[in-house]
Amino acid sequence: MNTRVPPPVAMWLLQRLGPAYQSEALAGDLIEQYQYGRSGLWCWRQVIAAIFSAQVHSMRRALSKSAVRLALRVLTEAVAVVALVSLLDQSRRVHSLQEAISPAFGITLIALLCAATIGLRKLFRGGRSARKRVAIKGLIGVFAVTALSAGTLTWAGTLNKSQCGTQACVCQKNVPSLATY
Amino acid sequence: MRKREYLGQLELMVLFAVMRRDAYGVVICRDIAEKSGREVALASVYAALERLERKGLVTSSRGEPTAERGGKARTYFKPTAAGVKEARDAHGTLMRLCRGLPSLKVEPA
Repeated sequence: MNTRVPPPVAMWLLQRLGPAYQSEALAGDLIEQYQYGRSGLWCWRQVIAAIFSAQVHSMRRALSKSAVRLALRVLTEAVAVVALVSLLDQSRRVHSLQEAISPAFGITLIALLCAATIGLRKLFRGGRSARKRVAIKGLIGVFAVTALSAGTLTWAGTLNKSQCGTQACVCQKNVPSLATY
Repeated sequence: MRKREYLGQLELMVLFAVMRRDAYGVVICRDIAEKSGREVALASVYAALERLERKGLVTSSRGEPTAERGGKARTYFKPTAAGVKEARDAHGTLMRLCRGLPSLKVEPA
């Protein structure tokens, strides 16, 4: 039997950089064709085509994946910022917890929960290092939200005690109704 | 209704080649080269086979490793029922499109 061996460097490159799909079958086909008289140049051409095709495929896949990831991140952060701003605004306008619980407050809470769910899904989908990074970011986020909320509530409490009825208060009690005009 | 995905020219050629018995990479390549006069890279054939398999039009099975292939096994491809239907539909469409075209000199099927 003819024992021609195809260029080892080409086969090594194919194994390293070639397509993942049916890689063994592809390498076997190349060896078989080489045994039946194909040239080394033909072998190299096939390997280069395989590597090029695999790299283009993986690049296209990575691009679409990162685009989705970026869109998801922008969406999550936008939802979180809008929800936080709404909560801050709500806490500025009300004087008690009963007043705070309104449809707007509920929607804001749902939006925050959605953002948290998306974040958690990302956390459990990623690898170990990604999980660590997301966990640290999440902790920073929770700290920032808690600090801001606590600060705002304290400020609202101060307003409630000392400034309600004055010009600095922006609650609905101070807005004159049209009937007074 | 699910949007129908049409096959490209290479995918169609590979699907027709797979319909022959014991189709694997080398045989498919040789078949396309003989019938179309076009040399196709093995990697392109495998890329088309991957797409066809993902669409559920072909299935693959591993053969035995042989010494002439450096101990690497062959992968044989077979069309599924959906693959046969797709090939039949594509063939019918092409025949209907070509029918009556004087410049092609194609007799009606």
